Amino acid sequence: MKWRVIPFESHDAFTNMALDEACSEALVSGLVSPTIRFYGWDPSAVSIGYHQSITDEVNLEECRKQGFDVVRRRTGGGAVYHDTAGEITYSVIAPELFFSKDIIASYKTICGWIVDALAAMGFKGEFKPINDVILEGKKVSGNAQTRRQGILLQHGTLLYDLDVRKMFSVLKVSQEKISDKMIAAVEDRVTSLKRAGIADKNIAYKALVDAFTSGKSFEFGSWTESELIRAKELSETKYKTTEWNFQR
Amino acid sequence: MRCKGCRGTIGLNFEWIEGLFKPGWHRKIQNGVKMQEMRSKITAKVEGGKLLRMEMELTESGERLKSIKITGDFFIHPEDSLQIVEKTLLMAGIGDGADKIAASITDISKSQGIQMLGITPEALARAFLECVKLAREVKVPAVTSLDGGPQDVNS
Repeated sequence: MKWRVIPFESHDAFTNMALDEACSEALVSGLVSPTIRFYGWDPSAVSIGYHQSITDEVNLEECRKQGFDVVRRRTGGGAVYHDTAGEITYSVIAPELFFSKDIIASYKTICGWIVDALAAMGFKGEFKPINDVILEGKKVSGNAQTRRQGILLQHGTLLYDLDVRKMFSVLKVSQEKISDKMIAAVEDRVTSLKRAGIADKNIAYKALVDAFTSGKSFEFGSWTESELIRAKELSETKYKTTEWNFQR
Repeated sequence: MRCKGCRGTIGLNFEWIEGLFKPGWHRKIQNGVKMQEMRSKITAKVEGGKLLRMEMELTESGERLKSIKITGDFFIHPEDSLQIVEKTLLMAGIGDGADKIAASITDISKSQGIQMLGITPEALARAFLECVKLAREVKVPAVTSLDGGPQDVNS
């Protein structure tokens, strides 16, 4: 089966989450091919895991001040700050049967594509269960997966640049903890491609596209009209709503 | 002093007005006195796993669970089965041991095909018992003074 690859595009957080779901629905109905998409977040945003409490994790007032979106994902995992310029996000939306029934094994498969992209840029990355990819012992990619109606959705980020202070300003970390020492501690555990020496985000994007499509029959494509209509609807009636975002 | 209606407790400094209260005062005089609440919330890092937060409320007697909410950055598949886990804990006897509680989560997980990543039935059981213990702890109530600020009744 031929994969559809949707080249990098930027959307607000609600549309990004809605497109993942609209695509999953279209795939269930057999209307589209398995899809790999690359995207960014504009404006910058915070996404929280499906099981998290938004009020526990996010400094909503600061997000409002800075004009950032806040959205709950369909996937588990933690709160993530998505900087408009700081990362490349991907989604893989495909029949569950394409991957191992074992969830960790399927993380390893898809995260392996990120490891391959890092290798193409001259780095030795490594999958670290449950859901991370590390570079020189530091996290460079976080990933999250859900399986619903026979469809696997995994999305994740590859960090290009990281502003720890900005990240802490929107995630709920007590002000006392935002010390230089703690920032240094985070910088010790997390890295980015820029820090590793990649000067151009496009180099990372090209490496990702090559690695994600390697060995697959694929073509670059775009959203169908019905996916876009459904995504708009899901954005408005689900992802922007208090009921969804404050459900826990 | 203990409320005869609901066994709630208020600081000893109030014994002088004990006679004023009838069973049920615990629920009635909410302005000015912060009542003992059978509530607790804990955050725990599961060893080798993820962050787990648990919030619960016990009945006024402290004998049964009224509500429970589990949140965190773990993974549970299918995602909505977290509610099944919460329901299982809601039904658990709060006097049960960790092994029994963990076993009931394991059983329901097996029968419902629930997979957990980053949390375990054992971690949930330990968090549950810790949360119950905290909720039952008698807290010293604070009294709002006339000039607006809260003060410790024992000070």
